[in-house]
Amino acid sequence: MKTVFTTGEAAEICKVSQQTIIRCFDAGRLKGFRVPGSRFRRIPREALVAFMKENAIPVDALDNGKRRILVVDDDPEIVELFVDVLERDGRFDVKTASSGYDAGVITHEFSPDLVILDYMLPDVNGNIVCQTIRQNPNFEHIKIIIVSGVVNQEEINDLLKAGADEFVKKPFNIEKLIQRVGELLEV
Amino acid sequence: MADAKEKRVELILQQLEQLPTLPAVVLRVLEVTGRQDASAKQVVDLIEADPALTVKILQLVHRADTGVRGEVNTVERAVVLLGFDTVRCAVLAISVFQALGRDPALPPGRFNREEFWRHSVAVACCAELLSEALAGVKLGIDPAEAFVCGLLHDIGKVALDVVLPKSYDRVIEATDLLRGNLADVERTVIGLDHMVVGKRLAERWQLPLAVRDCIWLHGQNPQALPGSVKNGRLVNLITLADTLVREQHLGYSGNYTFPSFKDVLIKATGASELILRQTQERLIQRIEGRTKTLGLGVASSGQIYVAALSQANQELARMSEQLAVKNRRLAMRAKFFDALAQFHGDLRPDAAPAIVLAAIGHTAVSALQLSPVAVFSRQPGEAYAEVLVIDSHGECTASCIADCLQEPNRPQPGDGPVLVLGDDMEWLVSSISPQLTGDRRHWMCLETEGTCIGGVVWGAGPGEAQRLSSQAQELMGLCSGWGLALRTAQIREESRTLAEQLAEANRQLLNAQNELLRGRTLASVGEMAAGAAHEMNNPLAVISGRSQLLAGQLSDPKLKQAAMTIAEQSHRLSGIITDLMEFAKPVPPRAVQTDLAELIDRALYEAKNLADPGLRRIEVTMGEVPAVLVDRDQVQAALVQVLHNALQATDERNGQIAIHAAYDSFSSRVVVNIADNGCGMDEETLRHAFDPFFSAMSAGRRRGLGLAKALRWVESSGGSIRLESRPQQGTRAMVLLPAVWPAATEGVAGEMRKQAEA
Repeated sequence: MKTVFTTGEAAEICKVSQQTIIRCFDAGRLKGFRVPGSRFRRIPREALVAFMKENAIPVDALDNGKRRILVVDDDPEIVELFVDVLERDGRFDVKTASSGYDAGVITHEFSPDLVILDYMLPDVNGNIVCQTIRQNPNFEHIKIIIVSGVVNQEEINDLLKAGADEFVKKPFNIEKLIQRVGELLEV
Repeated sequence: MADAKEKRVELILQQLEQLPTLPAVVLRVLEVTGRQDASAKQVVDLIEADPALTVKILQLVHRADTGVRGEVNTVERAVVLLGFDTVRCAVLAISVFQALGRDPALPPGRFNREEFWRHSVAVACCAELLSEALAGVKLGIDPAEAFVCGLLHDIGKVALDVVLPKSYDRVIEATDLLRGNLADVERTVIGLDHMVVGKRLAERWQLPLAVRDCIWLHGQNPQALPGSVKNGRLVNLITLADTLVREQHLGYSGNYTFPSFKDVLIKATGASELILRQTQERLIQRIEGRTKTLGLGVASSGQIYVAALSQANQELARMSEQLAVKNRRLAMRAKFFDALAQFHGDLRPDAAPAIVLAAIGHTAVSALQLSPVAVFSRQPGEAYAEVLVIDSHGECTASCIADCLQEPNRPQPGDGPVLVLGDDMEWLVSSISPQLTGDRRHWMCLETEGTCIGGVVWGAGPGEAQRLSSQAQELMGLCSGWGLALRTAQIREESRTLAEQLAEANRQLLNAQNELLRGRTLASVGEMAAGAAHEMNNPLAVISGRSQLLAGQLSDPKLKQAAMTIAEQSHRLSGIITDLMEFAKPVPPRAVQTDLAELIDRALYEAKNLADPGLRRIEVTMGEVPAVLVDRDQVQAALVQVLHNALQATDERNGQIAIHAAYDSFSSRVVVNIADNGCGMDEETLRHAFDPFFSAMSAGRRRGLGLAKALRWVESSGGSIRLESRPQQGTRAMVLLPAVWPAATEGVAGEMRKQAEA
């Protein structure tokens, strides 16, 4: 996934002229940096997203309009199932992680719109991952669906309190899952 | 102590040394007259050498032979006239009497010297007669020697009386009183007996060895005599003579017991019944003759008889009086003994306190001539007493339990067994008094280890304690017998109660253990189910997901359906695991006040959704029931399960299910009865009805967690489920739920009304 853009690329995505982008960059309204040893301007992905939101520019054009989903589970079969289901739909860009640590790293790089999080991870529990994401203001917009084979109602309540948006029990109905994902991402 | 006694004995023996010795002339006379070849001349010379002795001999001879043989002026004439033996006896008697004369300054003692000497002479004569009779048989005993030995055999007694007059008075007094053996008393009071003292004296006086042995050893069983005793035969002869004389009550020996070995004596001496009879016939006459020569006063044979008879009579009278006293005592004791024997005979070994009490009352009535009596038993430490009233026929007319408000005062030392009932027994009197006679209440305390454990109470006049005072000892014995039996029964009762309590405690412990075991089992099932849920739900999710994706891609409707079935079944499997987990680790209940009718309605609605009721008749009747305090969802689910079972067990057309709710005020629980007329269960199935996954049917039956889970839910709300069932007749399930107290309901309802008004 692209993380750094040139002024030309940013202009194309935002559907404005390159000059406008350069003006905004130089005025500091669009955050970025210059390539060391040259005058070339570069714009990080987060800065571009923030700029587009500030100026009410639709972000659909970024990444071909696909919504990013991170699937976190230590069971590769489950991960593969989710990937198959979500990619078959066609509306989602999917990345995967097999532990809480990986999930943290990839969230920073990938900035997903939605995380499908297994509750029982090998290193940390889903609710910890959930809380960590919620503590970062940059990830405020991320939706979180927790899936688990074992959860009683009390634990579900705790998870929802920790910031999860939805709980899905394994095994699950695919149609219902996709429908709920769509609702959460408003697509 | 032993040293002091030995010292005392030594002192006595020293005092013995101070007794005058026998004149040398006496010894010489004894020696000469004892010899076969002695001549009259020798004896006469010896006596005439002692002028004082000569005078006394002549005086004696004068007295003995008054005028019969004319004047006897010389010793020579006396010896010729009277013979050696008589002269020797006279010499001996004179000397001994002189040596052992009682101090004239002292008042006369209890030891009657005159009667004693009379006895000694009698023994001497008897021994002489016996030895004469036995001369030809086997005893080569010189009658003269036998006479001397008989005369002196008890000389130790006189010696003791001379040396220790006061102590010997005590000995005689004690022996008279106890009718005992003189020698035993001597040993007790003085420390040594007259045999030993006599022996010492004989040695000091250098009396012949035969005499010494007779003094020392007479009175012994011939079989106990050591073989080394040279004069054994003589000793036995003296013992036999002594026995015969005492049988005839001749004189006073100071002794009251007879040797029990007369037959042995007769055999040892070679005598026979005939010889004894002949001896006895001639004895009195012989004594008469000898007494004169010995200067012991003149006694005719008639007087001797009379004296002997009167002494024998006195003895008899004394014995008869004692026997009468003993008899009276024994008769009374026999009465108590009979009572006690009857008492114990009435009791079985495992009799309860009430039975023992009745038996005590029974014996009290019959042994003490009381009527009626009350008896009570009180376990130490208990605050109540068991009371029975027994009438004059020994029948129990009333029994009750009385509150024992005060510990009864025990009798003080010195109190008799019969006590007057005091204020401390007011608690008892109030319950029994009207049934007793008389105006005063008496009682006897039954106690063990210093505690009153019961008593016998009766009514009588004021003189009751006096009436029974002569029987105090027996009453005490009776009381301790009763007390012992009562306490035994009480202890048995205590241990019986204890055993029952122990059995109950054991039962509870077993239940608790079972409960604990069940809890542990469930906990481990919970752990397992939780682990299984995690392990199995992932593959199930994959199976389900993949089959759903597959179904989307298949165009053949049959294949599509198959793929969907795979998905459904994996969801079902997951459901079972969830059930198991919920069963093992139920969610903690949230008890809320719930309307039962509503709860049943909802449960029935849900159950009908699960299984089509068809044409089954379902009836709900509600009694007067308060609200229940339960976790609404869990109990509803439990009711659904029970109803679902009822629906499944009944026939679609003829099935009947009756639901009835009622309130049990005793346990303050509401009972929901769900009875069906379905297929019912056999005992085996019923026993396992609540076991998870148990199914009596081998096939066609879905998972068996239903009732198990229902019970868990109901139990966690503080209720329970009971099942009754008969095959082909139907099943009745009773779901017991904790009711909100009617008062509380009222209160809550009232509060709610107030809130609504506000």
